[in-house]
Amino acid sequence: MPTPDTVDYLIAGYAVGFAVFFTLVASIWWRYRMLKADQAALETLEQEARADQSSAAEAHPVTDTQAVRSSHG
Amino acid sequence: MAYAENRTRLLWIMTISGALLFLGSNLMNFLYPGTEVTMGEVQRLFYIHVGSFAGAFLAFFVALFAGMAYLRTRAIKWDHLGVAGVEVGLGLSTVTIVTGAVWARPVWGTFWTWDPRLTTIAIMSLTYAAYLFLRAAIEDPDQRRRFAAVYAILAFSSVLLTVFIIRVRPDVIHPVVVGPSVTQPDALGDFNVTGRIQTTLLVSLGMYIWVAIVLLWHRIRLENRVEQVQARRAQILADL
Repeated sequence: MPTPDTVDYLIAGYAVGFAVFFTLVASIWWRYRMLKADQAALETLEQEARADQSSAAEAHPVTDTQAVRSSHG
Repeated sequence: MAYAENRTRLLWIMTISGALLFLGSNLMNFLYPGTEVTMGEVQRLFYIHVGSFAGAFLAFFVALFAGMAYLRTRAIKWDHLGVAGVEVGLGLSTVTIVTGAVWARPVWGTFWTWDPRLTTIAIMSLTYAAYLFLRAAIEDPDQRRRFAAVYAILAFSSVLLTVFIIRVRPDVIHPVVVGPSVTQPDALGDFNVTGRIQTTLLVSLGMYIWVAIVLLWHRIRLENRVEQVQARRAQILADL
């Protein structure tokens, strides 16, 4: 019996097998990348919030002192 | 800090070696064993098919172990390992199914048949796919982790069923390549595993097990990062 020509199936098998495998790898890589971007955005948000708080405190120092005085009587 | 850096370096060394092994093993599939006489070139899919199942088996076993460890200790790291095991196992078992289906077309004359082995692997994959959906549907973190741990332990029975079904059922057409079986005389597409085919298979098995370990580690890192981002987001919302 001659050996059948099954090269097309070999190529198709490799193509779908690799497609599934690399989808798994790419999905892990992509989600990790997205999370890094999320983390960077959250850090920026935190820094901006801190900067806003400190500039607000610098802009109104007298009010704070008055509040302390008024509380003393 | 130095410990974390060393771990990251080790992971990248493992990743690069995994990629090289992947490349080398796939080249070996073509260059070393020669062409199988009765099936022709399509037989080379066998190395991916069996190798990826070995990786999937390891990953599902890791999920089983992580489930037991979580129920015992309630440490979140085991939950992370569990979800990593299920996701990597499901990915690799899908590779097993699709390569098997393409191999079956010229050898059995059909992509799919409800043979006991094919039925059990379909059940196994659907069981683990359901794990991911159900896990995502539970909002309470403690409940989700508890559920996932118990589910992963129970789901492993579908893996054992898939492995052993071809050794006990007399009506399977799936070939048994390694070890004794009651079905061997009737298996379609059966072939003798000797010499070069055996060596290539062993290299492929080793490669997929290595790749599964690397993917598990990357998936755990991803889960740790999810936890960090969620905690930070909750902290910012609390501060507002």
